Amino acid sequence: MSSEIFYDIKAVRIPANAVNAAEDVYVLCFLQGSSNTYAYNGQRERKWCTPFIGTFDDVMAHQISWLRYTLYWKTYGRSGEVPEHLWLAKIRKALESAEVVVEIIMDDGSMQVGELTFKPYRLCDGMTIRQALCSSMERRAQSNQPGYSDWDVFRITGPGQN
Amino acid sequence: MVNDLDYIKLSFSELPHFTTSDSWINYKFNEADTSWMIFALEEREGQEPQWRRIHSSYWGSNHCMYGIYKKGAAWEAHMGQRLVRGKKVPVEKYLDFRKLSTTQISGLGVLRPVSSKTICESNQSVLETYHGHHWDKSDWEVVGTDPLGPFRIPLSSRANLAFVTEVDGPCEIFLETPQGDVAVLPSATMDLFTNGGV
Repeated sequence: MSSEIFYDIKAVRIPANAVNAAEDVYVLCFLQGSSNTYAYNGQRERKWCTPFIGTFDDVMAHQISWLRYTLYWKTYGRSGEVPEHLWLAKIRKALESAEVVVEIIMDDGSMQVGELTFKPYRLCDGMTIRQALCSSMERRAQSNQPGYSDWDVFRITGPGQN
Repeated sequence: MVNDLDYIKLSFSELPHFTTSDSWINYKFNEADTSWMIFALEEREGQEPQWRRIHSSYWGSNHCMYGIYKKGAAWEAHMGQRLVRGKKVPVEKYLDFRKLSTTQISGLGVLRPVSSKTICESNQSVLETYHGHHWDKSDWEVVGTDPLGPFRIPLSSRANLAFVTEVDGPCEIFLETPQGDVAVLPSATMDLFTNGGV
């Protein structure tokens, strides 16, 4: 049996006016990997991904709904199951310390925010960053299951991945 | 707006054991040894307070705490729609229910856990027999005329608990008085909170 291990959490914040939203939009990013999937160097696979894009409360709602799963956290040698309240505290901290995106870089096919690089892919392949964000939020607004995840919007590269 | 006046974490391990010839049913009955439910004494505007289940240990039931996007007690607490004794608390603090110590049914005083359970149409076949086990419905009460329920099922046996937790369908669970009153004055049950209140 495998479990998902979370190594790092980051978030970036998009100003509301950049995507015609009522509130600022957050892109939540996890460095994560399966406990039984290994890279060529023998290290457990670690990839950056985007579980959710939305307002502060949307992201919190999505992560509250994740609490029904057991969540694992591993960093700097410390590891183990994370209690629900600590997981939410990590998410809140990531959102509150999110790096703000400068609007001008959003019309490119990729963007660099801090140490992370975002490139639209799969559902949003070929779009600009702004188009990918708008398209993701539009899909959510029209969906009858607004709590679904956003795994297929951005490919993210950054430190720690292998 | 909901105001949580108090909480209780109920254990079912003291329910009498019994075994059947089916190992799966035995496994489900034995789950009562580790099952728990958390009830909140909820105060809603214009209504008497009532004890309602807001969380449980078994899979699927955690929807009532945080299993569905933008629904459940934790989400309500995050949005300030659910208060704890009149105060808004961060959702991380709201989840302090993990610190509650468990109470057995015999420690509930006059209160008893009772479910209101409706069966999904696709599960109609298990209403009579499940893995060869015939449900004893002698203490069930049918509310209305629909054969799929709701049924009022007291959680007074491992079989009743297994039915409520195993068979799919909408379910609410309350702590009621022997007269079937779900409304309970906080002062009437204050003796329950000498241990482990949040």
